[in-house]
Amino acid sequence: MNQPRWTTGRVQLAVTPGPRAVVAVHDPGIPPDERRQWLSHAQESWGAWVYAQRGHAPSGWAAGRVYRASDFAIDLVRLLRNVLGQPCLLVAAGAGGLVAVLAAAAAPDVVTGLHLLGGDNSSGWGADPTRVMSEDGVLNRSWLDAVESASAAASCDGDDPLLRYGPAEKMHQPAVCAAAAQLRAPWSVRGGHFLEPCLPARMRAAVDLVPIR
Amino acid sequence: MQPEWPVPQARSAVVSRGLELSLCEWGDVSSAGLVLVGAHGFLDCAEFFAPLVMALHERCADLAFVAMSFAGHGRSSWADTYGWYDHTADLLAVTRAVRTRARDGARLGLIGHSFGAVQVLQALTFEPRLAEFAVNLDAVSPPFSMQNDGLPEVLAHLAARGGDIRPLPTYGDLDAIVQRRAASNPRLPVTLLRWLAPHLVREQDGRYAWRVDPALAGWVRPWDLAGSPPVDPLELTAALPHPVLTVTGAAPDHPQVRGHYPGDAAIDSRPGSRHCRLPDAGHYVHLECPDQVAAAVLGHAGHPAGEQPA
Repeated sequence: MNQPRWTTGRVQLAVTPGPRAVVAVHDPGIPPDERRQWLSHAQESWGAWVYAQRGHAPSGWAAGRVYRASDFAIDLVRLLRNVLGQPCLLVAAGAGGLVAVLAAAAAPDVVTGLHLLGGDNSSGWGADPTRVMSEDGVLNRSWLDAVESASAAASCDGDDPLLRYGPAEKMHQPAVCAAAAQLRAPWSVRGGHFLEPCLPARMRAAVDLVPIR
Repeated sequence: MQPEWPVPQARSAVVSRGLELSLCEWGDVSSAGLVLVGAHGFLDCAEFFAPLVMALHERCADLAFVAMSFAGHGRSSWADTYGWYDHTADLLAVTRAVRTRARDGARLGLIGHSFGAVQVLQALTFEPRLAEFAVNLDAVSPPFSMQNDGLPEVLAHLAARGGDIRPLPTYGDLDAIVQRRAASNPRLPVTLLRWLAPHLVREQDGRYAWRVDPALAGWVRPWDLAGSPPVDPLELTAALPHPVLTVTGAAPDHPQVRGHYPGDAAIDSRPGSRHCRLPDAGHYVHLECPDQVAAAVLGHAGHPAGEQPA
């Protein structure tokens, strides 16, 4: 399927518009079949805009093959500002929630709310929050060990195989919590989310995802 | 008469993360008894080690020096974004490649200046067996960074720069490049800057453009992207099993310390570290006092031509 392409930084993202001001943020590192299924669900159920984050087919890979939650967040902010052009609700799964929270803190004027879905059942980064955030050290040793030998060729599914090892750098948890504390948009969670303790209690509200039909 | 610094005897490359990292080689890695891998400072390039290489080779013929240009610098490839540990991974990849080419029994050391020095110390914390010793050229305090709650501001700033990263200014001739660089580094001899200029820029549409990825320029530093605190080189030094030589410039007008020197006592108190303090040097110790740095490095490497640092 040909999807519209949009360039952010030096990476092309595949973006599919939706009828509502809702953007679905998938769990990074999630296998393609699982990702497509979740994004299809987001399109059909909530009328969401969907996109594949950098490194995930059919979007392009990052030159240098470094993927951090903050890189994904910068892409999301640019998508919200430059493509959608209107304030949106972010629906995010697993570690996509970390991406959404960082984007909402960086661009509070274009995020109307956050709905975070737990990543417990996902095979992506969100299945193990220690892969994406850490109190002190921020290197992901698995990435460092893999980067030397990981083939530069695409895996058969088109994703960058380095994504399987998690982000190159974990986010510094105190900095993430400080960012989350600056959130101005209401947030809700379903099924629990590892970011819940970081999120400001005053902004907790029912962020309903009204089905499109 | 203008001094002539040695041009690299070979240029090679190592691929890391799909990026081609450019290397300058002086001496024969496969036969030298002492091999040094050099990591330059932020926004510099591999050729910045040429004056030190000349001073080293005047004292020691049995030496090979391989200097890398970090991603986004010099003749190396540009990445999409630049984090702290991707540079570390690149330095490790280069050092592994050099180690493989070195002869059995060769002593291998890592030497870095400023940003590159902290990367040297960082790399050895992950793979201490890659080198026998390390040299830190004037990186004695954590780099400047954002405030603890500054992550959203950093991300907003980067997002606002948009897809088309603004190009850096271009210049009409090499003299303008020399003047610009001299304004930032007033202690560096103009003759040396003239020699370095062709390595710092490339010709583009009849003008000269920096060989630096514009994504690296500006106030955001790589360590900001993960929200992590900047790395303290003295803590890294203390954590390493290697002997670490730290060479610092102590000139009163050292531009980087801005009147506040982090303290020689802090360096000297680190177990296993050795400190060479150069009263006539600023931040670029290896360019301002290459002979003294070469003597200290060779002494640290256990070479008879070296001197023990004072």
